[in-house]
Amino acid sequence: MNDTAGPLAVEKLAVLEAACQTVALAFSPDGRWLASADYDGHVRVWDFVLDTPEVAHTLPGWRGWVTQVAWIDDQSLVASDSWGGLQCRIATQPEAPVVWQHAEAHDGWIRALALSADRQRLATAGRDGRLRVWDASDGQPGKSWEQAGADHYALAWSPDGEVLHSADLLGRIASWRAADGHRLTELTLEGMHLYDRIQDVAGVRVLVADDDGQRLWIAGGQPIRTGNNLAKPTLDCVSWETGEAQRELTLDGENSGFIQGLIQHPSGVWMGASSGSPNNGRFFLHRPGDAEPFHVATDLSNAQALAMHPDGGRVVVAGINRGNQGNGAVRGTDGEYKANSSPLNLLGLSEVDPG
Amino acid sequence: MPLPERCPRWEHACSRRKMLGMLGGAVGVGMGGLCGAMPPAVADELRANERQVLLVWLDGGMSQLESWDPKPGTLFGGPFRSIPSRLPGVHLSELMPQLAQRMDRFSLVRNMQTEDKNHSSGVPKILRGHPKDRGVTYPYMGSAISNLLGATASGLPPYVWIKPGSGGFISQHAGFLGAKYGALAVGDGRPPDNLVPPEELTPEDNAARQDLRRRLNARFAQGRRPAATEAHAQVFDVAEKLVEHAELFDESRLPEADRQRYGTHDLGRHMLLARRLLEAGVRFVQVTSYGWDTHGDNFNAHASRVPKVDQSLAAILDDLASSGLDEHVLVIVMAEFGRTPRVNGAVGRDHWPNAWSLATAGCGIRPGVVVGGTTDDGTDVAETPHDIGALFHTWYQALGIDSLSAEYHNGAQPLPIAHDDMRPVADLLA
Repeated sequence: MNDTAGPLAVEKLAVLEAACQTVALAFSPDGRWLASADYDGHVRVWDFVLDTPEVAHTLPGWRGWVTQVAWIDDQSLVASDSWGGLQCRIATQPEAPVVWQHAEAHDGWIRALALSADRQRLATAGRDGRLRVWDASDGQPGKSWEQAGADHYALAWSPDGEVLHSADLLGRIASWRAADGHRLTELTLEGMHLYDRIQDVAGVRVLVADDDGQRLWIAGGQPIRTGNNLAKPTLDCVSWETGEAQRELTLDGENSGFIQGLIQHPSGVWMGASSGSPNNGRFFLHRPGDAEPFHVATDLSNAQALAMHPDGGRVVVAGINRGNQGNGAVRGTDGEYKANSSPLNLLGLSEVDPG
Repeated sequence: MPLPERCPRWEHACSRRKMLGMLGGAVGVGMGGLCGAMPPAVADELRANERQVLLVWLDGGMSQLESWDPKPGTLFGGPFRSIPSRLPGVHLSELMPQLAQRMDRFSLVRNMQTEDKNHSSGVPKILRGHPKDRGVTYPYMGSAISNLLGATASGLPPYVWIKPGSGGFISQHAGFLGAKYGALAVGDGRPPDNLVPPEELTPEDNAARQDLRRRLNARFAQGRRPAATEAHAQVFDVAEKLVEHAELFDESRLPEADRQRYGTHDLGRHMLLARRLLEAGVRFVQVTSYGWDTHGDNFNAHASRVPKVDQSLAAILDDLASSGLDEHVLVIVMAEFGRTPRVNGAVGRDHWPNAWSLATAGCGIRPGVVVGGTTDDGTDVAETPHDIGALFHTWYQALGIDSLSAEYHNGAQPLPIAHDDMRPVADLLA
């Protein structure tokens, strides 16, 4: 761990054992529930009112991996899957009735899902190069358009819901008028795409628009090599005023991987978690404008997802169990060949008195 | 410098049926495109002895779950769907749509189980067929075929290895056979340096130069061990032969449509060169693709990589079939192992020799066969596994080599050419 003075302090509160590996996390707006999007095609809904949160409902029905999850309101969530499915369910009830669903919202893997700030509209994108907008309440399809040759990794809405930002495999950041799919701008971030040994590697993994709509934050990593997928985590910022991208942060260590989760704390601090090569990765807190993050933890390796409780006092980082890698049939002490899981690291955040 | 026009070898060597068809079609439109086609009986006679091999080596280990043996919707199945193939009941990963449409033209072995889970020791074991340890270093497959079948009538080097990076003559592949059975490595598909003679060198001067070189080599060889001097002379002979075929490496001569079909990526370019080398008569061509050791971000990696295998392999299968060479070229697609069912913390898959897959097609292989299978979750071979030794027997048999009785002679030491406790996979043989 590497700490310098900063506006937030971090303490580990608990590690919640999980049944499966997790791709994405999201808290309900009221903070009662945490949903995890899991490798086994299930969404798990954790009850966060309990002193020690635990899974209240396990929702089946997605195919392949559940890839993204977002809450429409305090009861309903929408989640996508890697076979192109999209479902909205009332997740706070054990039987989790379906509100609406599309079995083939996309042709294959939906990597990105973004809910507009007013939670009225949903955007999805993935391997098929198509961007789709949906009415979040009833699942009615809205405008959709294709970006030729694109393989999308991330989406973000502008705060006013007028513009949809996308990032693809090649590091192209495009901004689209959501009403008609007209492309407003496009820039390519240098160094955020690698072609190595017939493999394209995406550098951009997360997009977040500022609340004031002035800037778009672009997180991921600068890919260095395929195989172990070495990368240096990076955070860039595009100003709409100048149209230019600036590097805000590069974390050290090429084993640290890609930032897979990025959230802005109400204090303005950025919280991020990076995937890393096996048993590497970082969780960090960074104050915009500083030369370095004021908190870097290396003990939450291989993070794939991050979620902040609406109270701003807690954050959950999905990590990985110990002994998660190895060649050949690495078996547990009971002789079983087991799947890995993503323990949820519950961290407490508290504001530091500057005095 | 422009290179001389040459006819591809397949134009001299297509099947009797196809040749008759071509001749029929050519009536009234001239015969120029056939380069003076030989009588079908002659072509058939030539082809009878021209068995060749294409080995596509996916170095590091392609995931069987994202390619030949998908397990969609299971615990370890990953994010991808499977798609039906042309064979009823047989599915491939959605990343292989073109190969799925050609599944009736090749076969799969889904119950490979091998010993080694490390690259450094696993690669040579697989490429040598992992015979019993008799205290000698067995040759890699390309060197073995070079020794067992020799060069084709083309006289071209019998073992050409197309690989990314640098090239050269790789004698180490030959093991106890001796350096002359090594691989001519063609780095990045580029011809060896200085392959094309300078324009001012006349054919007569060149012939005189080669003659002098041969005489000097012969004098140098006197009183020295043949193993070293033969290899030395062989490299020059290979170079001389390549000079005659320098046009094989000239990509500018290729139709743009071919380049697009194979793909403009390294694997596509190298597979297209492999086709040209096979057409020209190289006995054994290995195409290596590196970077398959996907311990991190396995699924995005395979999403990018596997479609390039799909594209280029489908293209060469099409071309081998349309030229009739599919009856004469044995195709093998494999690696040193597969990848773990378990997904590690970096969203990667690790090394997995326990239950993996390979594909094979062409000469002597029964098409449209799926040998063996894995358990529902892909963690084990469902029934009897096959080791690589059994596949070496199979491939030798497919090439007309009796692997059960043929022997190498390492000095006075007779050595079986494949693991003597193993037998061919009968289901695969045509």
